[in-house]
Amino acid sequence: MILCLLSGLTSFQAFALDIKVVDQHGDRVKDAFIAIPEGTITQANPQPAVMDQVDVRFVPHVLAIPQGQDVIFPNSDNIRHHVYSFSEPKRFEIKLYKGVPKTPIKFEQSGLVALGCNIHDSMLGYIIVSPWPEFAVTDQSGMVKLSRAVTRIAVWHPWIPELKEPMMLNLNATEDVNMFQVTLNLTKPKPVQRFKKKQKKRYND
Amino acid sequence: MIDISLRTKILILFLTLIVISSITTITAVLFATNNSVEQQAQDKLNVGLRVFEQLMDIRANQLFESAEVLTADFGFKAAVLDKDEQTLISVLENHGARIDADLMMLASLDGELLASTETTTQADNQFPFTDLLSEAQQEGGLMRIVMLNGQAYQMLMLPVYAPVPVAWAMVGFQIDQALADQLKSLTNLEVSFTGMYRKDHTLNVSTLPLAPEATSMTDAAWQTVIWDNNEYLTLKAPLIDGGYYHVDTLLSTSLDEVYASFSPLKVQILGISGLALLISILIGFVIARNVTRPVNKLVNAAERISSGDYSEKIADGDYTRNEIGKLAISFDRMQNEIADREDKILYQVYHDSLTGLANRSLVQQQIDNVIGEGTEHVVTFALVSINLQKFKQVNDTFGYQVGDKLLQAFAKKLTDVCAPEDTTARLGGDEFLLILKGVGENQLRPELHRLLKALNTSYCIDSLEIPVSITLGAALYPEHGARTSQLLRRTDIALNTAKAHNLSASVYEPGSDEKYLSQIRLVNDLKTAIAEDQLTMFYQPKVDLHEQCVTQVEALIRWFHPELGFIRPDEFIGLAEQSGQMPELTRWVIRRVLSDAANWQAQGIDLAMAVNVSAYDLATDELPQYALNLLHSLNLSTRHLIIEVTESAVMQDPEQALSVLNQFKSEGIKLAIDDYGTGYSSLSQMKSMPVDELKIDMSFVLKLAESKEDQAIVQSTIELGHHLGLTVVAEGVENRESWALLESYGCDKLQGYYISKPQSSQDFITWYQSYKVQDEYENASDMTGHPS
Repeated sequence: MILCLLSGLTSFQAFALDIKVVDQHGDRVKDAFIAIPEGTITQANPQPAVMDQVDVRFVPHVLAIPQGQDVIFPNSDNIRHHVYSFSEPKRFEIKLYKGVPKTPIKFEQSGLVALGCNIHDSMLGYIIVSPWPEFAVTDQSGMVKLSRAVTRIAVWHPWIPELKEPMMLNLNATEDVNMFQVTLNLTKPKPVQRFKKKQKKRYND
Repeated sequence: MIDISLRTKILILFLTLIVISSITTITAVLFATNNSVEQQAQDKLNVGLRVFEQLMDIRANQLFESAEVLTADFGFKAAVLDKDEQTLISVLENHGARIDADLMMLASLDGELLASTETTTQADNQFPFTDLLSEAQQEGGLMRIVMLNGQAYQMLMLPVYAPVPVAWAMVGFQIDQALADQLKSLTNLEVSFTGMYRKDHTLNVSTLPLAPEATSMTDAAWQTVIWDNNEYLTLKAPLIDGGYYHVDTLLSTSLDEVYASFSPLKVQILGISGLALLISILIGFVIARNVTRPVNKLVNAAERISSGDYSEKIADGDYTRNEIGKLAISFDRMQNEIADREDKILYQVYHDSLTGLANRSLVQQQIDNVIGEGTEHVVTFALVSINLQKFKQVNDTFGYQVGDKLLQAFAKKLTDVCAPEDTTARLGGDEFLLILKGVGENQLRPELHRLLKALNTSYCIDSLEIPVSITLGAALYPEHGARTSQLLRRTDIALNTAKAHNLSASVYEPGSDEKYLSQIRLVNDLKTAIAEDQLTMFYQPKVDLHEQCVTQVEALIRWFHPELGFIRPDEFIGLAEQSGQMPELTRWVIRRVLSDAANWQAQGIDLAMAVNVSAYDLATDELPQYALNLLHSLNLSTRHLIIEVTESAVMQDPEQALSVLNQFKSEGIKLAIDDYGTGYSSLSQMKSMPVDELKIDMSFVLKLAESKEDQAIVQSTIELGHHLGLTVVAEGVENRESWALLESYGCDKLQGYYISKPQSSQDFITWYQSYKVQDEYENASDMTGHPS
């Protein structure tokens, strides 16, 4: 479930908008996708984005790209990976490989793409394909800076359960506010792990 | 109480102990076995349960891993996301087959059933386990026992990551017979799964032929259940409890099998007990025999002793240390002492205590023995009875002590005189007996002479020289008798003959014994004779020369024996005296005589009756009164009775006899001295006797006419009698010459055959009535013979 809490902070609305993302505990949230849900992508960046694999992890964990962008999946580990996606916007797989694949993957539909490695279950990464030109992903500080003040933003985070599309938040921009704090109710997903049997010992004696 | 031998008692005691201990052992073992069976079964169940749990854990892990691998399969994930239901189902079947899953289902994260290898009973194909979803989400997956379409499954619900959760995969493994069998083979327990789902779906899976009913059982409790005639210890372990699933696991183990595993042990224990019993019986027998054998030996010894055999020694080396041994030694001592005492007693029984010679018993035995030898070879021997003459006088004169010493000295002399093989015995008093072996008819008389010569000598007793003369009586074997008693009696008869005839020795005269025996018969017959009136009274008249008539009769007894005929009075009177029948006989006589007298009186015959009485009649005081009573009762006067008595009868006990005679005298009954002149004929005696009449013995009268001496004796006796104031009667008057002489001598009365022989009462009456004194001279000449 999502709980959006908007709190306006007076700022220079004409110039930029800072957005701070925290979770329900008030902790800063990284890897949150924030976009201004306005406009369309006219021209994709010809330079492909990079979703690296370092130490059996996707780096970055969350990669935001504009619609139509190519992404290249270099393997920086000295072991092979088998990167795949069953997500609706883009299904693909790059079967066991090392190094940098020759052809990048083009993400033509917007949406959320969950990445996995077929041979390393713990590897999980996300690519958010944005239909809007302006977007950003929070860093460790949970902050993003938008270029202009808006009354609506699109927010997404992989830990918001069952959220298939970015949710829209209306910013109450009646005053000059150049900073908003967005609070997300996050559930950290269970890691892909063996569940521990919690069967009670029923057979005493 | 039944008599049980000591051996049996010991055996019974032994066996009882063994049986008790065996039973105790067996009971304890069986009890322990049963406990152990229970314990074993419980242990087995416990172990089995742990194994079962472990197995189920391992299985769960394996299933989980299998299911996880399956859900992580890239192809599976790809297919899952492929949304095509038919493809999905085929994938589920395909991948399920890889891991032997029996149930595969796929549901969306929202709980929508995407695909299933089993058709569900749910309406519009609803996912049946939606209630498990939230928990599965919470836990990242779960494992449950579930029921579907009447089948129980161990079901895993796992998310399908692609790489985020995209769906729920359900992988079910059926809890079926194969599982039960497998678990059974691993746990060695009977495994049953029972369950119920919404009351109408039941699960019954069991390795037992018939799945047990578990609903009545309590969880985690032991219960003994009988299925199909077998006893099972069962533990109920619910796999799922609560909700609408209820699947129980029942772990059972057959008690019978556990029992069966103990049955060889039981057989062994029973066998060992039986063997122990058998061995105990044998040992018991041996012990009982060892205990009772010496006891039996003692018993036998005691019986042997009681039968008079003291020869065997009882105690031997084997048993000297224990009680039996001591008892045996005591037995030996007892046996020896009994033997000693018996010897002494036997010696006393068979020997005369005074002289140490054999006594009558021993002599009889020895005679028996010697006669017994006669069956093998010819035996002759002589029995010699020895009597010391006048031994009574020695006692009377010198006292019994001297008498005894004389007997001892005589016995010693007797032994010296006899050959060693001869037997010397003292039969009693001064009576001795010799058995002279090898002495026959020819040697007997020289032998008797030798004895007389050797024994008729003086014996020096306490400085007294006592002369002894002996009388011998002898009998020979086999000439004089074949039996011991016969020989002894005949020896005795010979001795008596010798004594009677004043001989120093007499040999048995064949025939004497028969006479002796007939006398004994007469004694016996006399009793019946008195009772049966075989006796009768004869009467012989006495003629009074002064009156010239018969005034008295002498009553004489006669016995006509029915077989032997007439028995002489001197024969049976003596026997009656010796056998003590005299008083009775005399009373009978007096009774009879007075009765006759009364009869005669009635016929006008008035005579005095003279009755003979013996010494035995005078020994008591009753006779005078008896006679008086009779006289009185018969209305007779005392003058009708005259008592005739011999001098010798009075001499036996003069004082007593005279007292009785004086009674008669004082009552007016006259007394006569019978047979005067043959006995003592003591004048002083006669003087003191209260007699009225003197009867001269017939021996002086019978031949009076021929003998001058008899004439002198008779004449002087008549004079003597008259001088003493007595009436004199002559007996044995048999002829006229005697009559004339006696009449001339002044004799008062005559009696004899010349007048009349004794006659019966009837005959006498006839004679009396025809008798005339005047005719006497003429008639008397017919009468000859001797008085009876």
